[in-house]
Amino acid sequence: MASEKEKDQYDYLFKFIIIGDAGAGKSCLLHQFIENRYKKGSSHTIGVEFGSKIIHVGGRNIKLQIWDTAGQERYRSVTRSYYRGAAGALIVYDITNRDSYNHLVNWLQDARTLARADTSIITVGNKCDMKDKRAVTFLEASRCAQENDILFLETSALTGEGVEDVFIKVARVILNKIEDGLIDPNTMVSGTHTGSQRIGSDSGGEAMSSKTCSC
Amino acid sequence: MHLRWGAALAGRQPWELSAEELRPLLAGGMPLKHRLALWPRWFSLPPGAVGRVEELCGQASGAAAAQIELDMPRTHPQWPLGDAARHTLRRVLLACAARYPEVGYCQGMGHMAATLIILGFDEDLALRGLCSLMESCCEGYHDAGLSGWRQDANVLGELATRTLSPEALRRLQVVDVPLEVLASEHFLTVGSRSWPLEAALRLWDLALLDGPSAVFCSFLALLELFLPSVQGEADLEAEPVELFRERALLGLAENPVEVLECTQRRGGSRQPGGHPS
Repeated sequence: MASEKEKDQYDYLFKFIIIGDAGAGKSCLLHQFIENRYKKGSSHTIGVEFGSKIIHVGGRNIKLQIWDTAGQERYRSVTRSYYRGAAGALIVYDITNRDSYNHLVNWLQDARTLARADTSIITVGNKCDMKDKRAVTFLEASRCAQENDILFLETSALTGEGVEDVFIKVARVILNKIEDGLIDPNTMVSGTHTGSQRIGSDSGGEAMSSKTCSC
Repeated sequence: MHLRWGAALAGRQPWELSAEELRPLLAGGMPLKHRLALWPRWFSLPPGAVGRVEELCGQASGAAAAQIELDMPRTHPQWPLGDAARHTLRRVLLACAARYPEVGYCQGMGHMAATLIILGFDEDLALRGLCSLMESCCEGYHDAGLSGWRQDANVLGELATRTLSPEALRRLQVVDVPLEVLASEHFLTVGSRSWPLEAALRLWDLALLDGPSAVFCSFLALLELFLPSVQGEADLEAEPVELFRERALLGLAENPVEVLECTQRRGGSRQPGGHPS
């Protein structure tokens, strides 16, 4: 069965969610991370886009399962259900758009109230290739991240600068929490699963559906 | 396709066909000129009910206008919509935001409006088509809390449980994404964002005739036909949900008739013959 191979393929599964204002570059960031190139002429997201990739961090293979959400505020109502299961949250703003940075506090509040307390959060200042249009300085964003006790990096989904670092940085923090015993990777409600845990859940699903068939 | 229509029409105009004569033709597609003639007759809102784009488009709120502007180049960027067509799209969305101030602009409306514009409707017909779809198929879907959609997502869940095969239900469980999330794009754009254009137009033929049941049945058809099997296609990199979307797009591009016929079969038992005149 494929699950046996899957078990060898990665040690942990982490769920990530990407949030932030419309037009901040969330989908381009995800596309750059997964495909290693910029997505030209990309269409705005309706609902959620899904992506996944296996990365190698700290001697472990980690599968990231990523939800890229629509930025328009009203779509928050349908993505809320996913926060609970997320081990990592990326809050993206556009360094050339002051409003998108100002809204960071709202997104952070969403993440704090809806996600679990041990969800690792990073704020990502995207479009750092557009230096002459910069409206948010590195310094102030960095201070803001310090004050709120979250991680911070700047990226360019266009050039790829910093993009992989974001995902690796968050994954490393989560991995450290697991190794320090702060997160139990075997609890399904947390946004991390071990490879073998998933196999258990799959066969559980099978048993359940055969039960519903009989009635 | 033209031959089939020619034979069915036998010298008549397309709107002279009865529903029984029309339905078997729809899954296989419709010549553009017939769509341009039939759709305005199928729009749930009659001529004059919506108002003119010219009068409405200046009345949209500033917030809606700003969001529309942001999404202007990001709505079907691959489509060959020139500057003039993009400007029409902008005006139609502004007018729609003015007509429904409690909705304003919601992402998804642009994909629907662009579909009507690329087909060749002028701005007033595009607005009437957009408003008709929003009222007949997407009631309350686009409002501030997407409340209509969130209710209908529960209905979709009920229908899935009752009508999908046990195998499809089992596969859906493995995908492990709430239907409210998985199906939001389909319902909030009536398939017009991700479906290949020709397939989307055929879905709209059904949606304009049958209303929301076509939208529900088409998504249930996707679930029945394209959810990946667990053993056979387990992909180590891609998640089941990604495989589902890929398979659905491929299936819709290669064989839209299969999906549309499956949609009609599912709809047939629930809403026989009924369509708005």
